[in-house]
Amino acid sequence: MATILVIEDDEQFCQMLAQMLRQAGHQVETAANGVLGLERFRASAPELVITDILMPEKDGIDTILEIKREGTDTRLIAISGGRRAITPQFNLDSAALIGVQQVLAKPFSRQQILEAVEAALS
Amino acid sequence: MRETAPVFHEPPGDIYARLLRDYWRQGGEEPLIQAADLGKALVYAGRPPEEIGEFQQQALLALARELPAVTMDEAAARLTPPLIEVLIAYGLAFREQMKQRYESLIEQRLQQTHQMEALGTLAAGIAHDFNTILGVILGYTEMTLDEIPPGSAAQENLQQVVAATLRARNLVARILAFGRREEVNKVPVRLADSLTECLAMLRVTLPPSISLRICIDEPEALVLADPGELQQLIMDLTINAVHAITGCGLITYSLNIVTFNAHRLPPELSPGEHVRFRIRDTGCGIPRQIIDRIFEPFFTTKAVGQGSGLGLSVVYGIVKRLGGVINVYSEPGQGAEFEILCPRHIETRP
Repeated sequence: MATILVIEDDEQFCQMLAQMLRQAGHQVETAANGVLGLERFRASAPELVITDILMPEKDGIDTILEIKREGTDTRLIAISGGRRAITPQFNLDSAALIGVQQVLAKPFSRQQILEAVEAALS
Repeated sequence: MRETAPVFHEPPGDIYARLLRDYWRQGGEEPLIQAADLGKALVYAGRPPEEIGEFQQQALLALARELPAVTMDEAAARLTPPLIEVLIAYGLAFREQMKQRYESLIEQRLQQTHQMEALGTLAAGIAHDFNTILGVILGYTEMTLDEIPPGSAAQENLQQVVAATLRARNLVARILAFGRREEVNKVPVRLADSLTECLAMLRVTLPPSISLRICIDEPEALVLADPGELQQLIMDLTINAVHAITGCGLITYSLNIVTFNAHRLPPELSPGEHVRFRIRDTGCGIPRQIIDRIFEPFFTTKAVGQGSGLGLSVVYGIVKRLGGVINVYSEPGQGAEFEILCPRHIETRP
Protein backbone atom coordinates (compact mmCIF):
# COMPACT_ATOMS: atom_id res chain seq x y z
CA MET A 1 0.00 0.00 0.00
CA ALA A 2 1.19 3.48 -0.80
CA THR A 3 1.32 7.03 0.55
CA ILE A 4 -0.78 9.26 -1.68
CA LEU A 5 -1.29 13.04 -1.87
CA VAL A 6 -4.57 14.20 -3.47
CA ILE A 7 -4.54 17.80 -4.78
CA GLU A 8 -8.08 18.88 -5.72
CA ASP A 9 -9.93 22.17 -5.27
CA ASP A 10 -13.44 20.70 -5.06
CA GLU A 11 -13.65 19.80 -1.40
CA GLN A 12 -16.41 17.23 -1.74
CA PHE A 13 -14.64 15.44 -4.59
CA CYS A 14 -11.37 15.57 -2.67
CA GLN A 15 -12.89 13.98 0.44
CA MET A 16 -14.65 11.31 -1.62
CA LEU A 17 -11.46 10.34 -3.42
CA ALA A 18 -9.46 10.29 -0.17
CA GLN A 19 -12.03 8.03 1.46
CA MET A 20 -12.08 5.69 -1.53
CA LEU A 21 -8.29 5.37 -1.51
CA ARG A 22 -8.15 4.87 2.27
CA GLN A 23 -10.73 2.08 2.01
CA ALA A 24 -8.43 0.43 -0.52
CA GLY A 25 -5.70 0.54 2.14
CA HIS A 26 -3.65 3.60 1.14
CA GLN A 27 -2.41 6.41 3.38
CA VAL A 28 -3.90 9.61 2.05
CA GLU A 29 -3.25 13.32 2.55
CA THR A 30 -5.17 16.11 0.81
CA ALA A 31 -4.52 19.68 -0.39
CA ALA A 32 -6.95 22.22 -1.92
CA ASN A 33 -4.67 23.74 -4.59
CA GLY A 34 -1.22 23.54 -6.18
CA VAL A 35 0.49 25.88 -3.68
CA LEU A 36 -0.73 23.93 -0.65
CA GLY A 37 -0.12 20.70 -2.54
CA LEU A 38 3.57 21.50 -3.10
CA GLU A 39 3.98 22.37 0.58
CA ARG A 40 2.52 18.99 1.59
CA PHE A 41 4.57 17.25 -1.11
CA ARG A 42 7.85 18.69 0.28
CA ALA A 43 6.88 17.94 3.88
CA SER A 44 5.87 14.32 3.43
CA ALA A 45 7.34 13.04 0.12
CA PRO A 46 4.43 10.78 -0.92
CA GLU A 47 4.96 7.90 -3.34
CA LEU A 48 2.07 9.06 -5.54
CA VAL A 49 0.44 12.43 -6.27
CA ILE A 50 -3.05 12.60 -7.78
CA THR A 51 -3.74 16.14 -8.99
CA ASP A 52 -6.63 17.97 -10.61
CA ILE A 53 -5.62 20.15 -13.58
CA LEU A 54 -7.69 23.30 -13.29
CA MET A 55 -7.35 24.82 -9.83
CA PRO A 56 -7.04 28.34 -8.38
CA GLU A 57 -3.65 29.63 -7.11
CA LYS A 58 -1.52 27.16 -8.99
CA ASP A 59 -2.92 24.80 -11.61
CA GLY A 60 -2.16 21.12 -12.02
CA ILE A 61 0.23 21.50 -14.97
CA ASP A 62 2.48 23.91 -13.02
CA THR A 63 2.26 21.69 -9.96
CA ILE A 64 3.30 18.62 -11.96
CA LEU A 65 6.23 20.54 -13.53
CA GLU A 66 7.49 21.65 -10.09
CA ILE A 67 7.21 18.15 -8.67
CA LYS A 68 9.19 16.87 -11.67
CA ARG A 69 11.84 19.52 -11.04
CA GLU A 70 12.35 18.20 -7.50
CA GLY A 71 13.91 15.15 -9.11
CA THR A 72 12.20 12.58 -6.91
CA ASP A 73 10.72 9.40 -8.37
CA THR A 74 7.23 10.33 -7.23
CA ARG A 75 4.54 8.89 -9.46
CA LEU A 76 1.80 11.12 -10.88
CA ILE A 77 -1.84 10.81 -11.92
CA ALA A 78 -3.70 13.75 -13.51
CA ILE A 79 -7.49 14.03 -13.28
CA SER A 80 -9.74 16.56 -15.02
CA GLY A 81 -13.34 17.43 -15.79
CA GLY A 82 -12.51 19.97 -18.52
CA ARG A 83 -13.43 23.62 -18.49
CA ARG A 84 -14.52 26.54 -20.67
CA ALA A 85 -14.61 25.00 -24.10
CA ILE A 86 -11.80 22.58 -23.26
CA THR A 87 -12.52 18.88 -23.04
CA PRO A 88 -11.14 16.80 -20.16
CA GLN A 89 -9.10 14.95 -22.78
CA PHE A 90 -7.30 18.13 -23.84
CA ASN A 91 -6.13 18.79 -20.26
CA LEU A 92 -5.13 15.19 -19.82
CA ASP A 93 -3.19 15.10 -23.09
CA SER A 94 -1.25 18.13 -21.86
CA ALA A 95 -0.49 16.35 -18.60
CA ALA A 96 0.62 13.21 -20.42
CA LEU A 97 2.98 15.32 -22.53
CA ILE A 98 4.83 16.48 -19.44
CA GLY A 99 5.23 12.97 -18.17
CA VAL A 100 2.51 11.89 -15.75
CA GLN A 101 2.06 8.13 -15.56
CA GLN A 102 -1.74 7.99 -15.72
CA VAL A 103 -4.58 10.30 -16.72
CA LEU A 104 -8.30 10.00 -15.91
CA ALA A 105 -11.32 12.04 -17.00
CA LYS A 106 -13.89 12.87 -14.33
CA PRO A 107 -16.21 11.28 -13.44
CA PHE A 108 -14.44 7.93 -13.08
CA SER A 109 -15.44 4.70 -11.37
CA ARG A 110 -13.66 3.26 -8.35
CA GLN A 111 -12.31 0.44 -10.45
CA GLN A 112 -10.78 2.95 -12.89
CA ILE A 113 -8.98 4.98 -10.22
CA LEU A 114 -7.74 1.93 -8.32
CA GLU A 115 -6.39 0.42 -11.52
CA ALA A 116 -4.72 3.72 -12.41
CA VAL A 117 -3.10 3.89 -8.94
CA GLU A 118 -1.83 0.35 -9.30
CA ALA A 119 -0.49 1.00 -12.81
CA ALA A 120 1.19 4.26 -11.78
CA LEU A 121 2.96 2.58 -8.86
CA SER A 122 4.12 -0.50 -10.72
CA MET B 1 -34.38 52.63 -42.94
CA ARG B 2 -36.89 50.32 -44.54
CA GLU B 3 -39.95 51.91 -46.12
CA THR B 4 -43.28 50.37 -45.30
CA ALA B 5 -45.24 48.91 -48.18
CA PRO B 6 -47.65 51.58 -49.46
CA VAL B 7 -51.31 50.90 -49.97
CA PHE B 8 -52.63 51.98 -53.36
CA HIS B 9 -56.03 53.60 -52.94
CA GLU B 10 -56.63 53.24 -56.65
CA PRO B 11 -55.06 50.85 -59.16
CA PRO B 12 -51.50 52.02 -59.98
CA GLY B 13 -52.43 51.84 -63.70
CA ASP B 14 -55.10 54.52 -63.13
CA ILE B 15 -52.64 56.73 -61.23
CA TYR B 16 -50.20 56.41 -64.10
CA ALA B 17 -52.87 57.25 -66.74
CA ARG B 18 -53.84 60.37 -64.77
CA LEU B 19 -50.31 61.66 -64.46
CA LEU B 20 -49.65 61.05 -68.16
CA ARG B 21 -52.80 63.06 -68.97
CA ASP B 22 -51.58 65.89 -66.69
CA TYR B 23 -48.22 65.86 -68.38
CA TRP B 24 -49.80 65.87 -71.83
CA ARG B 25 -51.90 68.91 -70.95
CA GLN B 26 -49.55 70.99 -68.78
CA GLY B 27 -46.06 69.48 -69.03
CA GLY B 28 -43.85 70.73 -66.19
CA GLU B 29 -42.07 69.11 -63.27
CA GLU B 30 -44.96 68.02 -61.07
CA PRO B 31 -46.12 64.97 -63.09
CA LEU B 32 -42.49 63.83 -63.38
CA ILE B 33 -42.01 63.97 -59.59
CA GLN B 34 -45.21 61.98 -59.20
CA ALA B 35 -43.94 59.47 -61.77
CA ALA B 36 -40.77 58.94 -59.73
CA ASP B 37 -42.83 58.44 -56.56
CA LEU B 38 -45.00 55.93 -58.37
CA GLY B 39 -41.94 53.95 -59.53
CA LYS B 40 -40.64 53.76 -55.96
CA ALA B 41 -44.05 52.81 -54.55
CA LEU B 42 -44.35 49.96 -57.04
CA VAL B 43 -41.13 48.40 -55.71
CA TYR B 44 -42.20 48.56 -52.10
CA ALA B 45 -45.62 47.15 -53.02
CA GLY B 46 -43.80 44.20 -54.60
CA ARG B 47 -45.16 44.85 -58.13
CA PRO B 48 -43.07 43.36 -60.95
CA PRO B 49 -41.41 45.69 -63.51
CA GLU B 50 -43.48 44.22 -66.40
CA GLU B 51 -46.50 46.03 -64.97
CA ILE B 52 -44.95 49.38 -65.91
CA GLY B 53 -45.01 48.40 -69.59
CA GLU B 54 -48.66 47.41 -69.33
CA PHE B 55 -49.56 50.72 -67.61
CA GLN B 56 -47.84 52.58 -70.41
CA GLN B 57 -49.72 50.72 -73.14
CA GLN B 58 -53.11 51.15 -71.47
CA ALA B 59 -52.56 54.82 -70.66
CA LEU B 60 -51.48 55.61 -74.22
CA LEU B 61 -54.51 53.78 -75.66
CA ALA B 62 -56.83 55.73 -73.36
CA LEU B 63 -55.22 59.03 -74.32
CA ALA B 64 -55.47 58.25 -78.04
CA ARG B 65 -59.19 57.54 -77.58
CA GLU B 66 -59.81 60.71 -75.55
CA LEU B 67 -58.03 62.94 -78.06
CA PRO B 68 -58.92 61.53 -81.51
CA ALA B 69 -56.55 63.96 -83.22
CA VAL B 70 -53.57 62.20 -81.61
CA THR B 71 -52.15 58.91 -82.79
CA MET B 72 -50.74 56.43 -80.32
CA ASP B 73 -47.28 56.88 -81.80
CA GLU B 74 -47.43 60.61 -81.32
CA ALA B 75 -48.64 60.18 -77.72
CA ALA B 76 -45.81 57.72 -77.05
CA ALA B 77 -43.22 60.10 -78.47
CA ARG B 78 -44.37 63.03 -76.33
CA LEU B 79 -44.80 60.98 -73.17
CA THR B 80 -41.41 59.34 -72.75
CA PRO B 81 -40.15 61.59 -69.88
CA PRO B 82 -42.69 60.29 -67.30
CA LEU B 83 -42.00 56.71 -68.38
CA ILE B 84 -38.25 57.23 -67.93
CA GLU B 85 -38.85 58.72 -64.46
CA VAL B 86 -40.89 55.70 -63.41
CA LEU B 87 -38.31 53.24 -64.72
CA ILE B 88 -35.31 54.99 -63.13
CA ALA B 89 -37.05 55.35 -59.78
CA TYR B 90 -38.14 51.72 -59.94
CA GLY B 91 -34.59 50.53 -60.68
CA LEU B 92 -32.98 52.55 -57.90
CA ALA B 93 -35.56 51.56 -55.30
CA PHE B 94 -35.26 47.91 -56.30
CA ARG B 95 -31.49 47.94 -55.89
CA GLU B 96 -31.78 49.69 -52.52
CA GLN B 97 -34.31 47.14 -51.34
CA MET B 98 -32.05 44.21 -52.31
CA LYS B 99 -29.16 45.79 -50.44
CA GLN B 100 -31.24 46.20 -47.31
CA ARG B 101 -32.46 42.62 -47.47
CA TYR B 102 -28.95 41.29 -47.88
CA GLU B 103 -27.58 43.41 -45.04
CA SER B 104 -30.31 42.39 -42.66
CA LEU B 105 -29.71 38.75 -43.57
CA ILE B 106 -26.01 39.08 -42.73
CA GLU B 107 -26.85 40.90 -39.51
CA GLN B 108 -29.28 38.17 -38.51
CA ARG B 109 -26.72 35.45 -39.22
CA LEU B 110 -24.02 37.27 -37.24
CA GLN B 111 -26.29 37.69 -34.25
CA GLN B 112 -27.14 34.02 -34.36
CA THR B 113 -23.44 33.08 -34.49
CA HIS B 114 -22.57 35.25 -31.48
CA GLN B 115 -25.44 33.90 -29.48
CA MET B 116 -24.47 30.30 -30.23
CA GLU B 117 -20.85 30.91 -29.29
CA ALA B 118 -21.84 32.47 -25.98
CA LEU B 119 -24.15 29.58 -25.19
CA GLY B 120 -21.46 27.06 -26.13
CA THR B 121 -18.90 28.67 -23.85
CA LEU B 122 -21.39 28.81 -21.02
CA ALA B 123 -22.37 25.17 -21.52
CA ALA B 124 -18.72 24.06 -21.49
CA GLY B 125 -18.07 26.01 -18.28
CA ILE B 126 -20.96 24.30 -16.56
CA ALA B 127 -19.85 20.93 -17.94
CA HIS B 128 -16.64 20.93 -15.91
CA ASP B 129 -18.42 21.44 -12.62
CA PHE B 130 -20.92 18.79 -13.60
CA ASN B 131 -18.20 16.22 -14.23
CA THR B 132 -16.77 16.85 -10.77
CA ILE B 133 -20.20 16.66 -9.13
CA LEU B 134 -20.95 13.43 -11.01
CA GLY B 135 -17.63 12.09 -9.74
CA VAL B 136 -18.73 12.72 -6.15
CA ILE B 137 -22.10 11.00 -6.73
CA LEU B 138 -20.48 8.01 -8.46
CA GLY B 139 -17.75 7.63 -5.84
CA TYR B 140 -19.98 7.72 -2.79
CA THR B 141 -22.57 5.46 -4.42
CA GLU B 142 -19.94 2.84 -5.21
CA MET B 143 -18.60 2.96 -1.65
CA THR B 144 -22.11 2.67 -0.23
CA LEU B 145 -22.76 -0.36 -2.44
CA ASP B 146 -20.03 -2.19 -0.48
CA GLU B 147 -21.99 -1.77 2.74
CA ILE B 148 -25.17 -3.30 1.37
CA PRO B 149 -26.03 -7.00 1.20
CA PRO B 150 -25.91 -8.33 -2.39
CA GLY B 151 -29.30 -8.90 -4.01
CA SER B 152 -31.13 -6.44 -1.74
CA ALA B 153 -33.51 -3.78 -3.11
CA ALA B 154 -31.16 -1.06 -1.84
CA GLN B 155 -28.34 -2.50 -3.91
CA GLU B 156 -30.50 -2.50 -7.03
CA ASN B 157 -31.52 1.12 -6.39
CA LEU B 158 -27.93 2.22 -6.03
CA GLN B 159 -27.00 0.41 -9.22
CA GLN B 160 -29.63 2.55 -10.94
CA VAL B 161 -27.91 5.64 -9.49
CA VAL B 162 -24.63 4.46 -11.02
CA ALA B 163 -26.31 3.86 -14.41
CA ALA B 164 -27.93 7.32 -14.33
CA THR B 165 -24.59 8.94 -13.49
CA LEU B 166 -22.99 7.31 -16.50
CA ARG B 167 -25.83 8.61 -18.70
CA ALA B 168 -25.26 12.09 -17.32
CA ARG B 169 -21.55 11.75 -18.10
CA ASN B 170 -22.34 11.04 -21.76
CA LEU B 171 -24.62 14.05 -21.88
CA VAL B 172 -21.85 16.28 -20.51
CA ALA B 173 -19.48 14.93 -23.16
CA ARG B 174 -21.98 16.06 -25.79
CA ILE B 175 -22.23 19.52 -24.24
CA LEU B 176 -18.45 19.80 -24.38
CA ALA B 177 -18.50 18.65 -28.01
CA PHE B 178 -20.78 21.60 -28.77
CA GLY B 179 -18.68 24.20 -27.00
CA ARG B 180 -15.29 22.86 -28.03
CA ARG B 181 -13.07 25.02 -30.13
CA GLU B 182 -9.73 23.24 -30.05
CA GLU B 183 -8.34 21.97 -33.35
CA VAL B 184 -10.23 19.01 -34.66
CA ASN B 185 -8.41 16.53 -36.81
CA LYS B 186 -9.32 17.71 -40.31
CA VAL B 187 -8.48 15.53 -43.30
CA PRO B 188 -9.87 15.36 -46.85
CA VAL B 189 -12.94 13.11 -46.70
CA ARG B 190 -15.29 11.89 -49.43
CA LEU B 191 -18.64 12.95 -48.02
CA ALA B 192 -20.35 10.27 -50.16
CA ASP B 193 -18.28 7.54 -48.43
CA SER B 194 -19.09 8.84 -44.95
CA LEU B 195 -22.75 8.91 -45.92
CA THR B 196 -22.82 5.37 -47.31
CA GLU B 197 -20.97 3.91 -44.31
CA CYS B 198 -23.12 5.75 -41.83
CA LEU B 199 -26.39 4.78 -43.50
CA ALA B 200 -25.37 1.12 -43.72
CA MET B 201 -25.14 1.22 -39.93
CA LEU B 202 -28.31 3.25 -39.44
CA ARG B 203 -30.46 1.05 -41.69
CA VAL B 204 -30.05 -1.83 -39.26
CA THR B 205 -31.23 0.21 -36.30
CA LEU B 206 -34.10 2.19 -37.85
CA PRO B 207 -37.68 0.90 -37.82
CA PRO B 208 -38.71 -0.72 -41.15
CA SER B 209 -41.46 1.91 -41.57
CA ILE B 210 -38.76 4.45 -42.41
CA SER B 211 -37.13 4.26 -45.86
CA LEU B 212 -33.85 5.90 -46.75
CA ARG B 213 -33.04 7.16 -50.25
CA ILE B 214 -29.67 8.40 -51.42
CA CYS B 215 -29.02 10.56 -54.49
CA ILE B 216 -25.32 11.19 -54.99
CA ASP B 217 -24.42 13.32 -58.00
CA GLU B 218 -20.79 13.77 -57.11
CA PRO B 219 -19.32 10.69 -55.39
CA GLU B 220 -15.75 12.00 -55.54
CA ALA B 221 -16.35 15.38 -53.87
CA LEU B 222 -14.01 16.01 -50.94
CA VAL B 223 -14.47 18.20 -47.88
CA LEU B 224 -11.92 19.01 -45.17
CA ALA B 225 -13.41 17.52 -42.04
CA ASP B 226 -12.93 15.36 -38.99
CA PRO B 227 -14.37 11.97 -40.10
CA GLY B 228 -15.85 11.34 -36.65
CA GLU B 229 -17.57 14.68 -36.72
CA LEU B 230 -19.06 14.01 -40.16
CA GLN B 231 -20.49 10.77 -38.88
CA GLN B 232 -21.94 12.55 -35.88
CA LEU B 233 -23.48 15.15 -38.20
CA ILE B 234 -25.20 12.52 -40.36
CA MET B 235 -26.36 10.60 -37.27
CA ASP B 236 -27.80 13.63 -35.51
CA LEU B 237 -29.63 14.90 -38.60
CA THR B 238 -31.01 11.42 -39.24
CA ILE B 239 -32.17 10.99 -35.65
CA ASN B 240 -33.82 14.40 -35.89
CA ALA B 241 -35.62 13.33 -39.08
CA VAL B 242 -36.67 9.99 -37.59
CA HIS B 243 -38.19 11.75 -34.57
CA ALA B 244 -40.18 14.03 -36.89
CA ILE B 245 -41.78 11.05 -38.65
CA THR B 246 -44.76 9.28 -37.17
CA GLY B 247 -45.69 6.04 -38.92
CA CYS B 248 -44.27 5.55 -42.39
CA GLY B 249 -41.85 8.01 -43.85
CA LEU B 250 -38.97 8.68 -46.17
CA ILE B 251 -35.62 10.33 -45.56
CA THR B 252 -33.79 11.50 -48.69
CA TYR B 253 -30.08 12.35 -48.68
CA SER B 254 -28.68 14.20 -51.65
CA LEU B 255 -25.22 15.35 -52.50
CA ASN B 256 -24.21 17.66 -55.32
CA ILE B 257 -21.91 20.55 -56.18
CA VAL B 258 -22.97 24.17 -56.47
CA THR B 259 -20.78 27.03 -57.63
CA PHE B 260 -21.25 30.51 -56.22
CA ASN B 261 -19.95 33.56 -57.99
CA ALA B 262 -19.54 36.91 -56.27
CA HIS B 263 -23.02 38.04 -57.32
CA ARG B 264 -24.88 35.01 -56.10
CA LEU B 265 -23.19 34.28 -52.80
CA PRO B 266 -24.79 33.43 -49.45
CA PRO B 267 -23.34 35.51 -46.61
CA GLU B 268 -20.25 33.90 -44.93
CA LEU B 269 -19.25 31.81 -47.96
CA SER B 270 -16.47 32.60 -50.42
CA PRO B 271 -16.96 32.35 -54.17
CA GLY B 272 -16.19 28.93 -55.65
CA GLU B 273 -17.34 25.32 -55.60
CA HIS B 274 -19.29 24.09 -52.62
CA VAL B 275 -20.52 20.69 -51.63
CA ARG B 276 -24.25 20.77 -51.00
CA PHE B 277 -25.55 18.06 -48.70
CA ARG B 278 -29.28 17.92 -48.13
CA ILE B 279 -31.37 15.72 -45.91
CA ARG B 280 -35.10 15.85 -46.38
CA ASP B 281 -37.79 14.09 -44.37
CA THR B 282 -41.51 13.58 -44.81
CA GLY B 283 -42.18 14.27 -41.13
CA CYS B 284 -44.27 16.81 -39.27
CA GLY B 285 -42.23 19.86 -40.31
CA ILE B 286 -41.08 22.73 -38.13
CA PRO B 287 -43.50 25.47 -37.02
CA ARG B 288 -42.46 28.89 -38.31
CA GLN B 289 -42.31 30.47 -34.85
CA ILE B 290 -39.55 28.13 -33.63
CA ILE B 291 -37.49 27.68 -36.80
CA ASP B 292 -34.98 30.36 -35.73
CA ARG B 293 -34.34 28.61 -32.41
CA ILE B 294 -33.82 24.99 -33.41
CA PHE B 295 -30.01 25.18 -33.31
CA GLU B 296 -29.90 26.55 -29.75
CA PRO B 297 -28.48 24.13 -27.20
CA PHE B 298 -31.19 22.50 -25.07
CA PHE B 299 -33.96 23.77 -27.34
CA THR B 300 -36.18 20.78 -28.03
CA THR B 301 -39.75 20.09 -28.95
CA LYS B 302 -39.44 16.49 -27.86
CA ALA B 303 -41.04 15.34 -24.62
CA VAL B 304 -38.81 15.27 -21.55
CA GLY B 305 -36.54 12.23 -21.75
CA GLN B 306 -36.93 11.77 -25.53
CA GLY B 307 -34.15 14.07 -26.59
CA SER B 308 -31.53 16.22 -24.98
CA GLY B 309 -32.05 19.19 -27.30
CA LEU B 310 -28.38 18.98 -28.20
CA GLY B 311 -28.41 17.14 -31.53
CA LEU B 312 -28.98 20.11 -33.83
CA SER B 313 -26.71 22.42 -31.84
CA VAL B 314 -23.93 19.84 -32.19
CA VAL B 315 -24.68 19.78 -35.94
CA TYR B 316 -24.45 23.57 -36.03
CA GLY B 317 -21.02 23.45 -34.35
CA ILE B 318 -19.74 20.82 -36.78
CA VAL B 319 -20.94 22.78 -39.83
CA LYS B 320 -19.21 25.91 -38.48
CA ARG B 321 -15.95 23.96 -38.17
CA LEU B 322 -16.41 22.77 -41.76
CA GLY B 323 -16.39 26.44 -42.74
CA GLY B 324 -19.93 26.02 -44.02
CA VAL B 325 -23.48 27.15 -43.40
CA ILE B 326 -26.63 25.26 -42.58
CA ASN B 327 -30.08 26.28 -43.76
CA VAL B 328 -33.41 24.81 -42.89
CA TYR B 329 -36.56 24.89 -44.99
CA SER B 330 -39.85 23.64 -43.67
CA GLU B 331 -43.57 24.03 -43.92
CA PRO B 332 -45.63 22.58 -41.08
CA GLY B 333 -47.01 19.21 -42.13
CA GLN B 334 -44.80 19.16 -45.24
CA GLY B 335 -41.58 17.79 -43.77
CA ALA B 336 -38.28 19.60 -43.42
CA GLU B 337 -35.06 19.95 -45.35
CA PHE B 338 -31.67 20.73 -43.88
CA GLU B 339 -29.15 22.04 -46.38
CA ILE B 340 -25.45 22.15 -45.62
CA LEU B 341 -23.10 24.09 -47.88
CA CYS B 342 -19.38 23.76 -47.30
CA PRO B 343 -16.31 24.52 -49.40
CA ARG B 344 -15.24 21.72 -51.75
CA HIS B 345 -11.70 20.59 -51.02
CA ILE B 346 -9.48 20.28 -54.09
CA GLU B 347 -6.41 18.08 -53.73
CA THR B 348 -3.27 19.79 -54.99
CA ARG B 349 -0.51 17.49 -56.07
CA PRO B 350 2.92 18.29 -54.63
